[in-house]
Amino acid sequence: MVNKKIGKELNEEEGKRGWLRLPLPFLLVFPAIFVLSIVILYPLISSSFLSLFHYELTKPNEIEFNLLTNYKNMLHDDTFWLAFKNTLIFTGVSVVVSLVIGLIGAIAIDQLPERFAGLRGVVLVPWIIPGVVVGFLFMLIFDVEVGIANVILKHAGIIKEFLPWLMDEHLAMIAVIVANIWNQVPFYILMFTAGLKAIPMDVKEAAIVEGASRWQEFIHVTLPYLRGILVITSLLMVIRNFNNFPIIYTMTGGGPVFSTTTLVIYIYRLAFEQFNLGYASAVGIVWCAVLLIVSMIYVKMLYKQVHG
Amino acid sequence: MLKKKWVPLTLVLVLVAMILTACGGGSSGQKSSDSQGTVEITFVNWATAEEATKQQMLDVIKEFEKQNPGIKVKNVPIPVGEQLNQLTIMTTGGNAPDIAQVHFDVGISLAAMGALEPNDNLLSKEFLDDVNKKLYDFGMYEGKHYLIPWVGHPLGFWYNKKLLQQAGLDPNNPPQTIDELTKAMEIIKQKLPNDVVPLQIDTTIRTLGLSHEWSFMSAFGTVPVDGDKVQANKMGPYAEWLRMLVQKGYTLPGKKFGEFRPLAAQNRLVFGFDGPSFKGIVQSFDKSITDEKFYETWGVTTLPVGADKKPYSAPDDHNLAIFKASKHKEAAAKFAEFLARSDFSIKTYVIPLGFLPTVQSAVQRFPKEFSDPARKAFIEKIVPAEVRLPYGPNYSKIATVVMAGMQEVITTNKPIPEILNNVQTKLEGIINGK
Repeated sequence: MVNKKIGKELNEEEGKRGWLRLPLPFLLVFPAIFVLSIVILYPLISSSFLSLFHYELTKPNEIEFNLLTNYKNMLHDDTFWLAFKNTLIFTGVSVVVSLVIGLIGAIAIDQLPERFAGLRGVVLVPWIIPGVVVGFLFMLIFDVEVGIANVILKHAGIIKEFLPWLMDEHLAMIAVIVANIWNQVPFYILMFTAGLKAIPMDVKEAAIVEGASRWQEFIHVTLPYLRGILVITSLLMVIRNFNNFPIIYTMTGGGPVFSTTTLVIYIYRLAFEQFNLGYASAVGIVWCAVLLIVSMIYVKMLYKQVHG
Repeated sequence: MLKKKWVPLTLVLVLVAMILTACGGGSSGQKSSDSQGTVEITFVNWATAEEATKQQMLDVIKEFEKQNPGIKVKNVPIPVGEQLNQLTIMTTGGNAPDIAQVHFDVGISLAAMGALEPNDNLLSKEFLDDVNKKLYDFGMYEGKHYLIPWVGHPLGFWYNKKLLQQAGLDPNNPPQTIDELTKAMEIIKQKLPNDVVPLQIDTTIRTLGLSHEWSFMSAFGTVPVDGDKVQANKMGPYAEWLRMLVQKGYTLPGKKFGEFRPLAAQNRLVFGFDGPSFKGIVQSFDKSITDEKFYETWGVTTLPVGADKKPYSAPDDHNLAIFKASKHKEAAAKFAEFLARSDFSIKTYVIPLGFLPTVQSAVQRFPKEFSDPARKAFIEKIVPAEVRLPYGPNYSKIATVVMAGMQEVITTNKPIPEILNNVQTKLEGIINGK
């Protein structure tokens, strides 16, 4: 009897120890996984489910399972394809131009004497301003009547009459891209500045000793060292710009007509202005799928960079 | 050894507890009753979000709480242009308010969702006998009543007498027809500085945009949707006129109608199409504008007419909606009646801000205050001209399609028939449930 009791106690103790033997990393990441499952996984599954239904909030008695009809309708939805195209334009131009300006800015800042170190902090200001505020700021800048953009351009003789930037189907996209570039260039400057600092001095000195010109140094020394940052940062900004809502919505609401409507704007309008939750969910799933592909590329590049 | 292993477990448990606490913390903000029997009702509104009306509304809320010690009002201000989005998100998120300020289109959309409580049995007989029947009926959906008229805000045709005089036009004889209006704007554009804007018209892709333009469309004889009949492809004359307005600089494209109000305060707007609060809002922009000075500058009448010689006014009235999810519907209804009918609310909010009362007894109780020139014009001429728009479950979609078409008219050179045929096709799809 005593031996049985002792044996039982030992088994119970081993059980407790077994539970405590769970890998520490798992225990530490559990809170994050728990939160992600609530705020990401559940909405994703819910949206996937909704995307299979004809579901309009204003017609609660007409909810109908329609399998892939929403996705089929998407193929013939001109506004969807326009939004997709706008998203590509907005994202592509923003990333490329921001990257170039950011790189130039980083190189310029890197050349600054140490006494101008404080300027680096000032450069970051546009990045920390919330998107909504940036939107309002540039909405005023591009206002047809009192916007400073028109005043400057007219004064410089570039335009003869004030342009309705936010109400011209071609100019509106330019305006929101300009605002977005202004907002995110500092991020590139920050990243490239860090990258420039990481370039070994002996490599630079060797290039100088070998008689390399500034341009040759940039092409053969600076750029190769920054390639990883360039790719990683750009992919990250593609993801960010695919999701950019506040600047566009604040400035133009996706207009005029739908000329600045991106996928995220379109989804918002479908869901909360037209109450078409089923179709909005379907568009959202497609949008997530595109982002997932980009994210996978990002993770792969990041992994390659870390592990060589 | 055991202590070392317990540390990560403890850490995990603490983090999870913190997360759960944070998630559950929102419940403390939900409407509730305390141990003394006091109930709290959530009131979503734009009255306290706009500087011109904020203080007056807060005073009214405070007075209501004073007169009803058992009811507390939790004020939630939202921008007027976001009412549809905000209330939809709140409702679908399970956080619907008890009562909200809404326009007709938003209210009917919420009713179609099943978000609102029919309020016939919640309102007192005294209120029902006193309320304006026309506005009351506008708040019906599928045989049930959902919207409680709060303040009247029909759109009237304001005209700037001083600028008309400067342009050589008769300041006391505003345009009576659309043709006269067009001619007047032509003269104004020739005679007055370029920074003067002839006409206020909303060309945004919003339900408010459609509401604002509906009256002009009606004056041209054809509205895009009439019941189940779609007739966008017959709106050519209106579309041509709208394009002309922008091309000749008679209005500012892409502006919300509220964005023209600062221009009015700066004496840079000739013809406004706005509600009775126009006066109060203009005065809020420029405190030096007294009532006397305002009426020296501005007059108001019905919108110029078209071929049918009938004036039209879209209802921009403010209503109150009680939500189905509310646990304090009776308290919400009591608050609604106070807002719409009480002496304090009328004296503090309705009268100073230029709104119209929605209860008939108000004019009898405050005859002097409601006898000013503008309000008389609204009550006697403009309110009778109000027409109900095609509010319903499809209204938001209809507004998006129509206003996108109108924006296409003013921002592109596409042939108008092509644009209107596209609008026609899309509207037919909406009406037919495709």
